[in-house]
Amino acid sequence: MRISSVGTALPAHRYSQAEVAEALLNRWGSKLPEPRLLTRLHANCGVDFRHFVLPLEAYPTLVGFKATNDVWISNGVELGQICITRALSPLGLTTADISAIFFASVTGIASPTIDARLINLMPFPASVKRTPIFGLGCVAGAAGIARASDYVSAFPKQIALLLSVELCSLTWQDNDQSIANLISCGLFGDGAAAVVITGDDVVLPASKAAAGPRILATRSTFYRNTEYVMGWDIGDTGFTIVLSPDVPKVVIENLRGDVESFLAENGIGLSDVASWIFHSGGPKVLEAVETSLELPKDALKGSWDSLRQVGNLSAASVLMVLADTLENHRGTPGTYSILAAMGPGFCLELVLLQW
Amino acid sequence: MDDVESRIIELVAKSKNLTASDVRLDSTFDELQIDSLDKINLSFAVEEMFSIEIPDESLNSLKTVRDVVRGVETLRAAALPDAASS
Repeated sequence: MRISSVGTALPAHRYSQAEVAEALLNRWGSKLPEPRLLTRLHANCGVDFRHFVLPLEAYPTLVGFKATNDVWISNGVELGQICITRALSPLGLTTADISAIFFASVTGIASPTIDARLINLMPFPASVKRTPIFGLGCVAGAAGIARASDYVSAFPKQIALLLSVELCSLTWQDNDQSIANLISCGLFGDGAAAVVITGDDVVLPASKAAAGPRILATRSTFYRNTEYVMGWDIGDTGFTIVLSPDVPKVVIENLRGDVESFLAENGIGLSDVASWIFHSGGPKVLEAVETSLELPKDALKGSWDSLRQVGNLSAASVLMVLADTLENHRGTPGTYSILAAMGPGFCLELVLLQW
Repeated sequence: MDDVESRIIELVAKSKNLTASDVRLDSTFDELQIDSLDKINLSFAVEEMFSIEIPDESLNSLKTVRDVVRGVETLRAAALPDAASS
């Protein structure tokens, strides 16, 4: 089984970090005990630009969870349709060729889910198997690839699709001026990505079949009693961010051992990994990953660049880095890559790829 | 140790309830368990103490106490009237 294609989509409204900070200062004004705390936090998030589904001036008009979630649904469907088409078209496929769709998001809810709404808009077969995933957060990009690969491993003649739509700007809370929310508003952006995962017996045109890396193995790791590290406190006004300063600590304490044992299980070591496709969590997380794995400078350049250009897109972030890797930094045949993300639980998902 | 060094070491130590002898110029913020928020709060205190304005985006490049000392010296020098042209 292999990753055959990735399509991405970003909403139209793009802002510099300074523009976002200024808008939030205007919006929150006197609610902020120290306005410079916001601008200083935002200036040090490792983010230069972000895309949002609405123009900045429209956000204060969104009042209450329903209005916000309705925007999530309409924009999620629109961005989902775009990135699915972008993922399938280069392979000469349509949604009629998809046997299973995994949909991951943690920034809104719907039933029927976004994938169901897309099935009504695009020619998926009526027999398509749907697996909506809510709550995995940032780890869902890597975990979604892992679960889709589990599926095509069982059904090697089939093609699975992973779709992640994350509209993080819709979770901004007007009545939360906590440090976690100030950081969240400086770090997270909106975006979507779709990944085509093909079974071993799927025959694509020769020029396209070798387009992406093989998925050799995956591993989930759950860190017990770390619920406080990251997640949402869900209330009357929607999703309120839970973000502990302990995230880098959990990375430092666990990542290396978990990666080494995963690689050893697959007969290779850290030095055999030619490239790293990591979720762009934020500067502290990426620095912790570099420290933990003793990575050379620029080993996570793709993640840092993605963070700078679009911010943290939760589950879609690692898929953005994957898309860039497929387009601009493919491995030479036979070499290995690790795709990885961490998220609420707290947990880690590792995917071993071979080019 | 000059005045700027000793005052910054005092400030850093106080921010983490340490004694000045626990803090060296080469102490890293990681060693001192100073996270990004601590660093921002420290930057406000440094600004007040030395009457300077630290550029918002410069904080990520500060990894050690010595980096702060150098940054303060640079900002103070830039704020002084140019002696050569007077």
